[in-house]
Amino acid sequence: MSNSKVIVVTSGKGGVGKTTTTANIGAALASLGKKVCVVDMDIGLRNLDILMGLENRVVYNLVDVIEGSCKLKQALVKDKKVPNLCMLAAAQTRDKTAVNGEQVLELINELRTEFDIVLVDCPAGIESGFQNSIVGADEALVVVTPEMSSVRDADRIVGLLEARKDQIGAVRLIVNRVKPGLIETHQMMSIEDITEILAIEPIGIVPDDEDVVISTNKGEPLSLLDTNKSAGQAYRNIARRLLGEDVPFMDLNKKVGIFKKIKALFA
Amino acid sequence: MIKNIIDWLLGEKKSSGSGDIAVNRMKLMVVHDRYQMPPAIVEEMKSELLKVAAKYFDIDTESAECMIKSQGNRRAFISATVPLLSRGFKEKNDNSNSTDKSNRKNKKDLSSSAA
Repeated sequence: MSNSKVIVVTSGKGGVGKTTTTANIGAALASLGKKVCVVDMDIGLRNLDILMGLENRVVYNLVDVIEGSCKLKQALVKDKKVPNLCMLAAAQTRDKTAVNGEQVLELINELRTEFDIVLVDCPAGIESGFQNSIVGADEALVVVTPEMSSVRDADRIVGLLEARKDQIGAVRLIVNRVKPGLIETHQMMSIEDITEILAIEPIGIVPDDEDVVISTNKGEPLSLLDTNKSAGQAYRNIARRLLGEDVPFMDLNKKVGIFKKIKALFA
Repeated sequence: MIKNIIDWLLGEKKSSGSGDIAVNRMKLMVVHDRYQMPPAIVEEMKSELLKVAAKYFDIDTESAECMIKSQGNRRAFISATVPLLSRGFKEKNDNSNSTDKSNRKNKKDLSSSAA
């Protein structure tokens, strides 16, 4: 089981879609046949269970496992739809000081023996919660939205991750909530601008999609729905790229088709 | 106004969109963050650099620019653009006309006061 991969999903800034990204990529990887565990490291502010629709099935959490109150297997919650997908919830009534890096590393190593891929949902910030989340990671996904505050915080995160190059082999970017129409009219930073500023490779471009709100309400990751619609497809593509497949980026300009038609009339 | 509408309809590339402003602000901000360097320090360095340049050349202090720019791969460099006013080295220009001289004097004052 030395082939298992631990991937941390991080961003620096809060509210950019780390948890949504973790849930969707986790679900997509599992539906591609991998044994996947998604881990909520946001101790005290548990949310991944909601996005997965598993909040009613959580009995034990990550802190319980670390403190020895239960076995790891007792704390793992099996997904309702995808058989080889599990979730380890964060504690809701504790805080980040409840665990330390050594303990998390031990837990991650135990998860490695059970799963092909462990996806760690990192809390916002660069303090102990972040440090604990990256402690066992082989790779990192940095989620960023095309906003200045998000890009700035992501740059800080990339700097911290690159300082651990020996441990974290790949640091890749996911640009989330992209609005192609705004980029077209130069009212939003483009993907090229953001990747140039952060100087890391993008692995995914996820369009802003109202369906994300709906799927969160239902507790069903969008990437599991059998549609070709934007965000779900983008997450599935990221999952395939993580497995080494060469998947071209989606054409996000489809949505501005009407605009282009008007433009064509004038040309 | 009408031109703006036509440009918009034709999708002419506007270089002054807020997205472009954001990109330019970001590029500067990110470098300052990476090198943990407050913008005021760059100003200080600029005035010192200009003082050195002014020893050798007649320079246009007013339009001189100095900034830290980022380049791919998370590297950065100091970019200084210092326009020269007259030909040749400064010592050789000592016999130039009086307006030049007063100009130069002003510049000297500027650079020293900025330090």
